Amino acid sequence: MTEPTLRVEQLTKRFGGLLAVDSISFDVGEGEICAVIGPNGAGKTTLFNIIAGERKPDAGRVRLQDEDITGFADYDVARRGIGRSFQLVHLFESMSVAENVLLGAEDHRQLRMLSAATHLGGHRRRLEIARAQADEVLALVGIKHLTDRPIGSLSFGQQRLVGAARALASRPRLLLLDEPAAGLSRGELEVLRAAILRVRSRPTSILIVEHNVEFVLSLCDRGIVMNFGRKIAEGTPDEIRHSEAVLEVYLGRKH
Amino acid sequence: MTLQSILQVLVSGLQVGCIYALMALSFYVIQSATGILNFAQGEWAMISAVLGVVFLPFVPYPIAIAAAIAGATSLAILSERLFIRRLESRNASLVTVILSLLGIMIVARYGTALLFGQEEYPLPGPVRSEVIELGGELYLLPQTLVIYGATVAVFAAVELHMRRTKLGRSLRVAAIDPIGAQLIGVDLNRVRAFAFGLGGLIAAVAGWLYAPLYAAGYMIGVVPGVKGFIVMVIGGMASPLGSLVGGITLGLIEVAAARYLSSLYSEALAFVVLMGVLFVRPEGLIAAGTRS
Amino acid sequence: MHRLLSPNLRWLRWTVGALLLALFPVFVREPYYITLAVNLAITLMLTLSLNFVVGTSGQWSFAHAAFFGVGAYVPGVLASRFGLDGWLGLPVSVASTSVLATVVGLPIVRLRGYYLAVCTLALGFLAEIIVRQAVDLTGGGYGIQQIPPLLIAGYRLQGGSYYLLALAALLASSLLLDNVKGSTMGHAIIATRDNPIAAASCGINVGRVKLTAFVITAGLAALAGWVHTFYYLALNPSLLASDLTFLWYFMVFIGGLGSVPGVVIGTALLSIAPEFLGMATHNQVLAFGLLMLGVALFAPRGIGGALTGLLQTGRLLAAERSAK
Repeated sequence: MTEPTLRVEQLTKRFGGLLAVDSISFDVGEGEICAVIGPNGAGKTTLFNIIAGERKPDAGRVRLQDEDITGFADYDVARRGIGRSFQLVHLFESMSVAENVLLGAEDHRQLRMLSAATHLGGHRRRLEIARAQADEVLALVGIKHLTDRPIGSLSFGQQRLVGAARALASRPRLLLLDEPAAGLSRGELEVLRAAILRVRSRPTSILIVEHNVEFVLSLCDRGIVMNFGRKIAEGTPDEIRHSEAVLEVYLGRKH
Repeated sequence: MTLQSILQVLVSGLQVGCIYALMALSFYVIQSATGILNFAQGEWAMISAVLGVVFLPFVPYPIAIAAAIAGATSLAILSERLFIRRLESRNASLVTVILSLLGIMIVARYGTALLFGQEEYPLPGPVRSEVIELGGELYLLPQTLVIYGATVAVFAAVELHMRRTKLGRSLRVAAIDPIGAQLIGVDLNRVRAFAFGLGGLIAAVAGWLYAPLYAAGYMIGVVPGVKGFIVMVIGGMASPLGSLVGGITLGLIEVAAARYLSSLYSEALAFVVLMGVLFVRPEGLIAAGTRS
Repeated sequence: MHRLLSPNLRWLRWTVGALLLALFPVFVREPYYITLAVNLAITLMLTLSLNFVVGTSGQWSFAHAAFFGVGAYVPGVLASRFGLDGWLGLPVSVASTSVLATVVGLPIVRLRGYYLAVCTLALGFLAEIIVRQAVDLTGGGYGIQQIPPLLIAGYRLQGGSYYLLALAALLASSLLLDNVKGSTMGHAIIATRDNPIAAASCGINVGRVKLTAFVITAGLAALAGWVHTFYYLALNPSLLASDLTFLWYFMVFIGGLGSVPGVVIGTALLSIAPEFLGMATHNQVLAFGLLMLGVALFAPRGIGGALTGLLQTGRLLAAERSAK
């Protein structure tokens, strides 16, 4: 069996006395869509932020295929092949849709000052490659028709898609989606679902943190359920739907 | 380092420190209530002193002080009404606001140079008596005592005001939570106008304490202004007390450095300390209600 | 954001523009106008780089005059006291100022808003104080005079020939800034300004990008300083005065922050008008301050914004006409 794209081992994070993430472990396989669900305050966002490099864990490891990326900074995590979207979208306001996505496609590992100042040394070639990648991703996510639109003219759902496209433009091995369905209309949810399925087939592994349980369970291959920082259930959507622990949390039913 | 010299350093350092503290307070009052760092505060101090020179030949001393301070304070309030209020109501960008504040400072400074000329004139203090000799070679200028007294009075007055009066309390509320303040009916425009006025008033008073020691001219606001906002940032922006402590500390260290080291160190000191503080705790110095 | 036009067209524009500007001293010989032109070139280098750091990279730098002054003093002192050839002084000036900017900038780039403004302002004041106090090295308040001039094959560079040097420096600066804006690094700088969180998610090291923009600006200011030193062949500490920085900021803002044509026009107008009106420096700063306040209230996008507005109106009208 090949290495899983993402392996999270015993991840733990405390805020003062509060245990936000308590020894969480799980895998995301190649080309798999994995969901993380749970009520408010369950620690989903903290878990997400640790994987994305925004926070350092107090204990545990995060592995991206064969690489240990525990504690890496956010830009470093991005460079290693993890793309992420934001709940609050976070687009570049002064740019068009195409320009936003281009920024995701460009290689920012080296500054290349001399090339930047003179436009020599392969500058044009690199820009063309990045443009091509950006174009491809725009089509993949299904927003090619929005290419030259300024950000301000887009609906919330469209902005979300641009954010996802930008995250994908660098061809990451793993895509992290932070509550992608929040605030979307029925129609927009369908567009989003279709886009996520197309992305998965690239193949790209996807980890979705989501509140809308119905939406994400209809989409994912496997999922984990969190409550009070702990993993209380894991498995296929069916297994999760019928899990006693989950029912107790969401419906308050006692067996 | 004789006892004589130490005491002299203490006296001078305290004196300079009081001026810094007052200037810092004038910045603080505005900054805490509105999040605005008004670069022009030093100029209000200068204008107050310059107006004093203009009025003194014509009216008795107390009236000259009152008129000069009133004049400078009015200009401060005018600057808020004419410019800041309009910019805020248009949601101007921070760049526009900061550059406008600079513009106001420049106009105040060089407008005075144009109207008043570039010379410096002496400004007498309120107490005209001889230098007080305290035994040995220790001297005390009467103006120094005036400075001490006035500083204590101003700080006490501001503290009381902010705790007891309705207007003062609305300043504090706006500082802690501007949105919440609006919800309970605090008019942010009025608060801002009042903060600018109060800040201008404090600076104007500081001008009358400072100028008798040196002179009155269009450039005298630069140093107190710069040092004032440095002290405010260093002293912590959580309460007026920070300005008092910070100002006095800086004043003492500066005078001590000038006396025992060299003038270069003394002048550079304030800036070095400022940069040190900002690097170490830029977030820790942000008070509620600050825009960044 | 910069769009790559047909590259040939861009080269053509720059070359033609450079040639036209280079012809200036052929037609104008009076020293007064030559000096005016050299000053304008120097000021343009400063305002364009300021426009870059504030507009494109979104950071304050009130230490601009300090970097200009250091860039002027280093080669001047080395030439006058230690006999270093003026030409060698150029890389030394830019390199030393860049190193200074890096050292000073490393802790600074974490700051934002008022704090960054205040800190760079403090640095500017500090630099002026140090230069005034280090009398042995810098001549203190009196400065340094009679700096040995630049020579080309034994021929002294001055007047019209110096204008060409200043023009070359200006064109190099502008081209550099223009190229950077259209490069990946430039995109990263703009992205960092717009949204640092999003930029990090694209793999951009936000701190390093901000520092780079800051240092580039300082280096260009130093270049302007070097040009200044070997034209006037004298140094004095008022080159580091914060008043100068404010003057440049006003020019940039009135010209229109972020708009290169606007800043060019604004700088040209504000540099030349006071000369013809015979204004003393103090009145100049006063007038700029008033103008600045007027622009802030009524036209915050400056001249550049007005130009863009005109262009857009023109396009709309043309579209309407062709639709009829």
